[in-house]
Amino acid sequence: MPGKKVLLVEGSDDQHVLKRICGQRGVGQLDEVKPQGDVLWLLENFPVRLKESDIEALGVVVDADTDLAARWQSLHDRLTKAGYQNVPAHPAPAGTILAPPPDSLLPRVGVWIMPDNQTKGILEDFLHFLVPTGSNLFAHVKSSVATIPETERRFSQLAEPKAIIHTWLAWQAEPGKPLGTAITAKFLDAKVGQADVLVAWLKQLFFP
Amino acid sequence: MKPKIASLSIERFRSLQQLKVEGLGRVNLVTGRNNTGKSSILEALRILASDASPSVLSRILRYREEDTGETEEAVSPVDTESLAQLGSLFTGFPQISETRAPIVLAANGGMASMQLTISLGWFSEQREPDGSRRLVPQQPQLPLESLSPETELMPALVMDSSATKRILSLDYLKRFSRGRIYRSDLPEEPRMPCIFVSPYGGERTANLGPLWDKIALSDREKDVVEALKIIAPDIEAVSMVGSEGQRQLRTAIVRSSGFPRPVPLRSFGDGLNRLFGIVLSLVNAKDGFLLIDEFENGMHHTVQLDVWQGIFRLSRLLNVQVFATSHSWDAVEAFQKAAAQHRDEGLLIRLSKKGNAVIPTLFREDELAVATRDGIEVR
Repeated sequence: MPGKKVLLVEGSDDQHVLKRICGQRGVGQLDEVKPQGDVLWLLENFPVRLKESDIEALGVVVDADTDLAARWQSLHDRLTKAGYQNVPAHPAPAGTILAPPPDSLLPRVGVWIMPDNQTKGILEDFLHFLVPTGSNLFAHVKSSVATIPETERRFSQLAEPKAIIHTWLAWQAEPGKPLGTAITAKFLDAKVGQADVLVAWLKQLFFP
Repeated sequence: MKPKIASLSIERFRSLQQLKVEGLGRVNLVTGRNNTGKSSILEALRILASDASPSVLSRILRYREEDTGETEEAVSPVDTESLAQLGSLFTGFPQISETRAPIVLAANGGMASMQLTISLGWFSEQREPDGSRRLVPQQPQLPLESLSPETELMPALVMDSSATKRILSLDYLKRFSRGRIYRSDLPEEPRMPCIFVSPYGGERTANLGPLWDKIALSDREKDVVEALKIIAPDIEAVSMVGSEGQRQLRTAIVRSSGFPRPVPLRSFGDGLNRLFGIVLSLVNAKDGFLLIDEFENGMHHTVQLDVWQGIFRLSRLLNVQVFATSHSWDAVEAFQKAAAQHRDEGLLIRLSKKGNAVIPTLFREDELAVATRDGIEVR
């Protein structure tokens, strides 16, 4: 029986985006792309998932949020405790992949920290890469969000990329598509070169 | 209260080349696919807890009266089939002539510490000047077929525990099984209660007579009735009729509000009979071990959670450490739920094969709670 391939993500936005990217870029069929609610639940479930029966490859996609190093450390600690050896001190820029320890039942593990394993940020920072380059509309979206009067601005700096992406989606031919559907509708383009690194990580992790 | 043993280590026993489990719980469920060695763990515990008593060994080796002919006509000097059964205790079924490292069983932590090595060897019987007999180790003559019919060599298991060293010849084990050796001939019986419930335990209530007699009219009897109510709430009392002399005739009967007079427990179905066997064994295992092979046998999935709850409750009350096996998803799921409600008590041990190695994966109750919540397959 072939082993299970499972991708854990934080929320349902992440789930839909990753599923669409896998589909559009021909990554292959995963058994589960599973939203965990939030990053704390994900971190609690992760060590138990590593022990799931017949699991072959387990991927994790999380946001760096404001502190990339701390996010990596929390995963690093759990991996080391589970028995993985030589877990690197920093995430690999192209996405981390760890081989299972010899003579264990542990899966191959992959970690991707949004947006690019190198900077702080969230899923929506990554989605900016998927906006067609040189778009005048996108420039307008960005400057509109940037010029919201200080007293009317209700979101944090960390959430600004989210505000920008949702504004971008609000101003499409079919306004207000959710993130996953927006990829299908080509308002976000999963085939751009900037997505290649993520796609290569997914393929190497799940279909080496 | 801490579990009796906190870690178990098994080397070269049956299919378990090397297995070490640490952080055992009060109630432990061993799961895994067929041939991963679930039952071997229970056998190892039976041997350890009894300090390798001949009665336990002969039952594990399944030397029964009907196994071997009563005729003494020796076709071969050594009964090769029985010998093969001895070999089957050891990983890889070694020939007796092969020099192999011994089986090593050890359990530590908590309140009991036990260690035992078992090896296989040839011995001959020597008569001492005082008339007593003594077994003396011999080099085997190879091959087996070349042994002369008059050979005095006999295969034996050498059991070495921290306290004693004992040599149990194949012949002795077989005679023991046939009931030709009586209790009075035996070395001291084990001091650690360890009761084994076989996959079919419960349906042959005759076997349960001696267990019943030990608890009849005590508070434990009430515990048994309470537990039976898990499945059949209208049961009011239980007893076993028939006398010790007629063991085969002993039957469990129950008084139930549904019937005007006592009725046989048998008539209540497999589930209740299985539960009776488990609970009667549990109350007899006070301060010791209860081992249940194939927990789910005969038990409908709707009652399994309640039965686990009963086991968790009673085993804590009576200071019993429980080891059960199961390959049923229902049993594991019910165990998960029961364990999640009892802090620091339950451990799920999944055995998986990788090549020839058997690898244990452990789930403590907090992890079982996560697995239940998130639909993570632990079986």
